Amino acid sequence: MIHPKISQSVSFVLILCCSLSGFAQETISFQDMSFWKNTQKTNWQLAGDATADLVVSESMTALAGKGVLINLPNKENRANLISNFEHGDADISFDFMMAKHSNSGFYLQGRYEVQLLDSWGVLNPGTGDCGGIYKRRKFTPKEYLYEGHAPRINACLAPGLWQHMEISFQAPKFDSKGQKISNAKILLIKLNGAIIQENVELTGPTGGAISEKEVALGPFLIQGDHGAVAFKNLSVKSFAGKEVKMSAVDYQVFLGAFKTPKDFFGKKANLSGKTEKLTWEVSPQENNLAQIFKSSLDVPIAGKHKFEFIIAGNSIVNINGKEVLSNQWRDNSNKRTVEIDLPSGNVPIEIISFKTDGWLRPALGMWIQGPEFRSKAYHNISSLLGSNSSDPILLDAKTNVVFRSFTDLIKNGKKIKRIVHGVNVGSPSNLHYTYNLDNGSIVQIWKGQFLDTSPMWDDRGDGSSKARGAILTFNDAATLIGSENKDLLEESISEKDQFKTLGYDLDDQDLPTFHYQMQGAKVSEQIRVKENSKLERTLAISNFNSNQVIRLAMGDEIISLGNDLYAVDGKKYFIKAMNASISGSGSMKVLSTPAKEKITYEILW
Amino acid sequence: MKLNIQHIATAFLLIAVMSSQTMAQTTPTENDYYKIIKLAVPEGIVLEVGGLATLPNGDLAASTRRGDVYIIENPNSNRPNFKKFASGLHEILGLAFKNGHLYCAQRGELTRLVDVNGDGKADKYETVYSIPISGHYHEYSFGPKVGPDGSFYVTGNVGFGASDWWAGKSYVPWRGWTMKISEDGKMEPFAAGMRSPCGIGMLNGDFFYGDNQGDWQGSGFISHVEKGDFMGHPASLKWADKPESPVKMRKELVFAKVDPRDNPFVKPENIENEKYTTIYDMSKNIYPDKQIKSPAVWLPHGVLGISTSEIISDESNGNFGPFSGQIFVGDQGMSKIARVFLEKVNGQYQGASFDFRSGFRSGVLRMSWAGVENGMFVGGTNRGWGSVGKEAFGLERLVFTGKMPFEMKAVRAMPDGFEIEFTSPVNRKTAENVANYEVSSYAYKYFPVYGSPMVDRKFNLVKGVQLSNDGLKVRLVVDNLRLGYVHTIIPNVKSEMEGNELLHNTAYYTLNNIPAGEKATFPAKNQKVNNGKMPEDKGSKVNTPDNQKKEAAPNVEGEKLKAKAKVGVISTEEAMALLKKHACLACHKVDERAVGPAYTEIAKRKYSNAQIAALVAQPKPSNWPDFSTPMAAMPHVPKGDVLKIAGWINSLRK
Repeated sequence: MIHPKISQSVSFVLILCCSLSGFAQETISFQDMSFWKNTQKTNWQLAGDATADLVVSESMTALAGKGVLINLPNKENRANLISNFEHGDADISFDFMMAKHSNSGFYLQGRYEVQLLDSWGVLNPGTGDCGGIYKRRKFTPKEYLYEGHAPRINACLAPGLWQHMEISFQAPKFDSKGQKISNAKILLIKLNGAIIQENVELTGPTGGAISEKEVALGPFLIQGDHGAVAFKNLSVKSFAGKEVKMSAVDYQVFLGAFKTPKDFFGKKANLSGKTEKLTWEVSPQENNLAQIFKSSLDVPIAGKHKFEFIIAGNSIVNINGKEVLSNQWRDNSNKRTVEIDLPSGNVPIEIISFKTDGWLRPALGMWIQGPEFRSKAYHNISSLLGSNSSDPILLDAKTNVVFRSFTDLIKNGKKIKRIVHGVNVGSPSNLHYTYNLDNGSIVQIWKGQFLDTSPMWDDRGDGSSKARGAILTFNDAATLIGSENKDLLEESISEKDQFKTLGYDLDDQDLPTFHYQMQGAKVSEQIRVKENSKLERTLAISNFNSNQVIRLAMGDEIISLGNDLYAVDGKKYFIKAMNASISGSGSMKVLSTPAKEKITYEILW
Repeated sequence: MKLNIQHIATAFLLIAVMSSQTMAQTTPTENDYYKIIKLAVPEGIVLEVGGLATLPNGDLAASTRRGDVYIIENPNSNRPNFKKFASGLHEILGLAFKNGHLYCAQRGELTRLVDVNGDGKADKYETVYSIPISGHYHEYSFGPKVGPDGSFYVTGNVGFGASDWWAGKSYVPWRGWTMKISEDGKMEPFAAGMRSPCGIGMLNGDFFYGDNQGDWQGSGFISHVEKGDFMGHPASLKWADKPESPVKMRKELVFAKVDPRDNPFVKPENIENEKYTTIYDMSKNIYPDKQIKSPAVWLPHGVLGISTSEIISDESNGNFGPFSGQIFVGDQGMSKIARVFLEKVNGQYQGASFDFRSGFRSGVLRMSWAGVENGMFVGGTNRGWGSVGKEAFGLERLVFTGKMPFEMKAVRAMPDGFEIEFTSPVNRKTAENVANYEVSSYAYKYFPVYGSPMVDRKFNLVKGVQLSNDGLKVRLVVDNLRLGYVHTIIPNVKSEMEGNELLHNTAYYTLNNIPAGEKATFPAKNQKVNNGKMPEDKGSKVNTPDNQKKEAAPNVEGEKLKAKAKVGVISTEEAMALLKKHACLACHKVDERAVGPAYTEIAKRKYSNAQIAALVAQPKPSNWPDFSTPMAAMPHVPKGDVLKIAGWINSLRK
């Protein structure tokens, strides 16, 4: 019974992913500086790309071209950058790169700072670390810092790598006299895919704001006086706050076990009336019922609107005289979603539902997201209390943990495969990895907390666990391989390779050494977290032949940065290795080194 | 006049209390003979037991779904010490001790756990064999059991289809097989046809396996597994052509005889009057040269279990009661243990299954002896599979009180019937009355439907009875013995000493072979005159629920009134006796959810009594979609009893 439900929720996720990009979103061009006020200083420049040194503080280099905004401050030129554009409620996302030990900040409305810092390797991040909400400042008359909000986890990558941040911001609200009636809010911040802030109330501007006076609209400010930093792919989606309003709802309730809408259409309703918000609870019974809700939506701005529904049982939705959701069955936790263009003005809506499954608790909920407003609920809360979610089972790594499970490899939001002989190794340094015993490769590393084991341990479970935090997924391919096959990615192990995993040993700190055989060679390897920030991988190999290589990285793009350092996939992560060379063609590049008794290299991320 | 309701209630309560006391004094229960003692487990340990192994020094090793292996020191004391020996393993469902090391089957690996430095913790997790697996949730692996040659036996579940989530599939070699694995990791595919082989055991050096009811498995059972055997589920045969496969059976041969009804969108359901075959027929008559193994002993679904688990033999030399040398089979879903008497006839195992002990706190998954005088450890979990024992996990010890239960100790096949051996002398008057024995036989269909009803059920005439001089053995002469059928034997006899009835009154004998030998000779007084009239098989006459609905619908109220007037509602005590007799309580409780819904919930559905009766004969699992275990069809329960039960259920509606 469980399978149809799973497939439904999967398809729902896909729909949701696709639809997120469908709304008015402005991408800020870094082809010129017109978005920004002139600073009269030279520290902010356009570049084609940026590189930052891993070792030398504040060392960042601009590469020729456009598309990247880079800040290279010096004593005379260290201006902050302020946009001409002003925003209120908005979703903002951008990529950024920190120089080593560098410090910057992204100020929402020029007043509320999301800290940007090279926090690579920090174990317990504070308010001043990357992704923190910076503290507020008072002078009494001595400087006094207060409030602030540390990120949940440190998801910050190495200097010189491109990182990704997403912010959902809610502006402060004012009454007609200009009195603040609600504080500004950080609804959400994701850093490198990990949620690090949620629902943070900002009682006022943080230190370094352009003004202590809060306003409805304000510019972006990027701090330029503390260190080198680069940006690209800045995009903004503004929500002016004009929401669709729904007038009072006319409802009809029909009692009976209806198999199709025909069974109750045109019949006399058992009950009818008006309700302010949508709710199934206008019905006297929980099953064997049909309901028709009719209302009118006052649409302030024409454009694309996303409707989401949770309706237990069968449902049909008509909007603006058109059937937008046809008769389909759902349980009481999976959404039905549709995106439609609406004209401004009054738009009729009709929701039809009927249900004959006694075991299924009823539920009715509707959310609308418009061109200029965030998703908003149009139902009574109690109308949705049909299903309870189960308690998560979480596994932390307070000490070193070696833990086996199935692992789904996710790339760009899509499951690409299930690792079936996986070992997850968790470290109190909050840097973890999954090792595939089927080919001796590291398939993913992540920062943050260790594992969500609910998929495995709740109810029957499916044997898998999920990494918690910011995740970097690698190609799942054998590490040791004959050089003639090194540029082949998938299925690179065949029976004649005689791959055999031999298991692992644990040392007195519970750190594993993995052992396997491949093509006659015997490999023992250790993967260790160094300085809370990087993985050092050491392979001891015996009985190898001169044709065999060790693959260090695979990707669309691998470039040498000198000093044995390589950047993979547009500076997504670094490999530091001696005697390595790049081969491959097209979108399949390989960094490898000839097999020998001992090979040590680092993954920096 | 106003009735004083409180007084009436008090009076009723008193009667209830008194009667239950009287019952406790006169009717022995399982608890009088075998007591369940809970082990003290430190708070915080989630001990969802997947494997148990008693170590040579008496410590108990327990492996868990959460991937830990604990060594429980002094497990028979009030305060055993729990030491974590290993952790981070993948849902371990078996544990064995051999040559100083623990071995466990993870989902995808047979692993040796070695404590190199002697600090009481494993520091070497050696891969003995990496088990191929696709990653489907249902692909559990069980074991190992250690064979006489030191090799390991590991079994693997099949996965299921995507849209056809009911259909067992073998996505990778050797899912649905028994694998025989040597100490140095050489794997020999040993036997095929397993579906959900959680129950495995090594009995006197012979490897046994048990399976659950499911597709191609009519009911639970245990079987002796020999190299090259095919046990029934065809998904595993996908790999039978591989050069290393010793299995002679092929999928096409199965499908040539039985339509797999392989439509990914239509779940196959039982068709009442279709032509069918049985696994015994497949094995003995259709493909006698293909090494198809029909069950040694069936465990009737819903009666002796719904999900077969551990199989162990009684090696206590009598310290665990009268069943020395016999077999105990755990059941996860019903939180109970069944007992099996095995014998070899014509070189093949067969025998009888009996109820033994219910009431464990969670689903019984593993058993291991606690030492010669200390009873049996019973470890379990319900882990989303559901079980009658409602705790998420449990570790208990079952001990013999020293009191002798009055039981059928053994049932043996005879050339012309059966011999029943009792644990203590049977009352001669009751034992020598041939009318006190009810024997019937039925079969299970072999087909792609999830589980089979009992089919072709017929009563067998008991023609004669002879009691041995010591009063311990009864020889029955039974007409029309049917090979491949389960013979249900119910002696309504009393014990000589205490005059009580059998603790468990039914034996289920799986008759695969009839021994040669001399037929019984009887004094005339012990022979029964055959009047030629046998009771009918009520199962085949029962209407379907839909028919019942049609018949009952026009006159529901009338029917209700009739039922009330004629039958009346039986007392709760009477109802409980009937529910117990027909094994209903194995899955249902009065006002709590168990394997099936509570009777109070069924009452709310407002079925007519006739509808309930029809649904008992032919359940509709689709009526209860949030219960994971479909109800077994019980067409053999006499209609009079079902209607009494139905009336009582409906009386629970307020």
